[in-house]
Amino acid sequence: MNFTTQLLTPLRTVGATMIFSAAVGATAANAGETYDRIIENGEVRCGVAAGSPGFSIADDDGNWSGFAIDLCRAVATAIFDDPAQAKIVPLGWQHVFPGVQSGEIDTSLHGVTATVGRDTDLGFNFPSLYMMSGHNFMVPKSKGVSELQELEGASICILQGATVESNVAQYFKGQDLAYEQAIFDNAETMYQAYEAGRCDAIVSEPNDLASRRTAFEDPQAHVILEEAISKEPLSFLTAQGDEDWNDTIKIVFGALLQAEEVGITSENVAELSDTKNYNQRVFLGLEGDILGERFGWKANWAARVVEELGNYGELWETHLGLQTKVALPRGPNRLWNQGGVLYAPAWR
Amino acid sequence: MLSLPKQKPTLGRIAIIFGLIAILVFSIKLDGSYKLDWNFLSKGAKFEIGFSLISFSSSDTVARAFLVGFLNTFIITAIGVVLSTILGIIIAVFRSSGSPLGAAVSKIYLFLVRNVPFLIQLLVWFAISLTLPSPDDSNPMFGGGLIVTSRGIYVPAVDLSPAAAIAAGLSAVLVIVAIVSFFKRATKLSLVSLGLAVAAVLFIWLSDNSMQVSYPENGRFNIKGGSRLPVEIATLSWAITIYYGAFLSEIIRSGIKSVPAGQAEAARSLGLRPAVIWVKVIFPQALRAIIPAATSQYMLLLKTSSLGIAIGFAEAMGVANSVMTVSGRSIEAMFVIVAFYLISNLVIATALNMYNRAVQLKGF
Repeated sequence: MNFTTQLLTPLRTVGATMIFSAAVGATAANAGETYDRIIENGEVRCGVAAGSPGFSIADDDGNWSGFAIDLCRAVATAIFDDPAQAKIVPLGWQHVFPGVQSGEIDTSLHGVTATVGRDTDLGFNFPSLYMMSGHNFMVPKSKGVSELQELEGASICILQGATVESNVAQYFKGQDLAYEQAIFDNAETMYQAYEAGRCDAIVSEPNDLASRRTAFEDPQAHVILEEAISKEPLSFLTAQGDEDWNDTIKIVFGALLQAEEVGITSENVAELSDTKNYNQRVFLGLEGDILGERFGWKANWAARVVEELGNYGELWETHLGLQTKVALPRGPNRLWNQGGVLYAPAWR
Repeated sequence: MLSLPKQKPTLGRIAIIFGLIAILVFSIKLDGSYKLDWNFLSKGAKFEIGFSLISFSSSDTVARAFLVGFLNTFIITAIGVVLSTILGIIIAVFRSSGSPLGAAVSKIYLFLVRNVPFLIQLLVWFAISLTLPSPDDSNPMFGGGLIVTSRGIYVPAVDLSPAAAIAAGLSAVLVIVAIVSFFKRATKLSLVSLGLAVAAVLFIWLSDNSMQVSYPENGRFNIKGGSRLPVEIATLSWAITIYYGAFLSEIIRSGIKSVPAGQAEAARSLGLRPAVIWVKVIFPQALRAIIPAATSQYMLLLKTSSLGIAIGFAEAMGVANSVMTVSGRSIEAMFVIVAFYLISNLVIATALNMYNRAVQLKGF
């Protein structure tokens, strides 16, 4: 190669890469126009965990069902008056943050914990807490463990990529207990390893533990310890910058709670069109300001959501209630006036 | 024969590569929702690592966590390179030997291993390792000397003082020197190193009377005592050995085939034994064809070790993922890990290129 070629070839490479990366940089999405994109596409794209019984699970024909699925459908019903406009995107945990940041999904219902760091440093928003969770341990009953202190020296299965890792490390360090860690990047492999005896305990959110336990060969042989090591407010995850989209989620989810508070269920919503109860009338769009009018939703969007899917309590009963295999007690996930932490904004 | 072009990666090329990465990194939007911040390296890691050669706890720095990850990658790479090369040589010799059984076995092995993605093979081996008994159900073998569980293989460990440990390592090296020099007919060197090895062992024996041997025993949760070969390292090394052994065996076989048949015939007509023909005539000439292709297999092996997190082994990529989630610094952590893999692979390539040039025929 002569001197000129030797000099120009790397420069050409650099130049080409600069143009390429400028193009990449320009399209790296800010997702500031999420709501517009949803209207344009005609569908709401929600990222969910792939096979979580009770939350997001597909049957053999590919039909999705679960608590998280219905939350997504509620948003679609409010915007488009049709729950089928919810597009369910199953994701691995490590793709949730990049998916939302890049605009590939509009929101994630993957069970993401709202943390201060994620909200402030990483450019995310958590418009609505949909479940108050924590991190609990599951151990085989045969180990006879009743308190977390007894887990000293145990081998613990942990899923990478969530707050679990640091929570467990902080907890055991604080109690000055040693433990062995087996860390996995794939939930299925991790639960398989725990069931086979690779670790003595496994730590995750209680809803995740309960729903995965249903798939074990002997679910009764495992117990979820009551003591939780952190609070995990699970919330919708959106990218910063789109107030319309954040407001949408807040209001639609709030409608589910408000419906339960004023006593509207999927069964009685049709008969309540002549109710005298002021709160119910406002909710059904029969009186007062039309909430959500700026977005162009129908006046009875809240009634439609409840009609199609039910209120929060009904959703819980259907997917996570004590008669299902998941059997998760509501615990703190009751309404504020029933001893829990959930509440809708004042409905006016 | 054409002369080989120079293969050293120049500093200029390295600079260009880093420059391109820097351009890509900085073209990501940094207008307020994400600012590059390198201080995270000196903050506490806040997570544990399952296996580490050096001491590590969750209060150590992120930089130390990365170091642990790098060391873990190197262990897997070192074990994988050595074992897969040996396996490759064995399989290649099988296929070249003309025995129909050897040819059939190696064809089946190559067909299965080369066509199934590595991650699937790794998960299969991991599932098999899960069928081993858990600590509660496993019985010590050889009178308490060995326990095999789904978490690892436990052997008795000896607590040695640092001086004694160094002496033990030294005596092992001396024994190897003694054996090799014996085969090379350097008897004096052989005897001297054997004597030194015995002296080192005596030194340990006399100076460290309170040698504690800890036997592995069933504890409430885990095996206590002894030292453990973690199941993740064993499974990952095994899977990598099987996988790269296949590719390397084909490379080695093509190198063997590239040696003109006349060489082996001439050696046989001189009366050399088959073992000598292989070692002194065929392999040195085959190396010239093997090394360039083997270099890229070794570099692939280093990168494949990053799949260890799928079975619970935290090597460089696994540690980087933990750092990214716990500290939130994904761009910076990515930069660190890209630099690590780049530099490691450049080192492998450079070292092997130097070896390559050393075995080339001079003057061709």
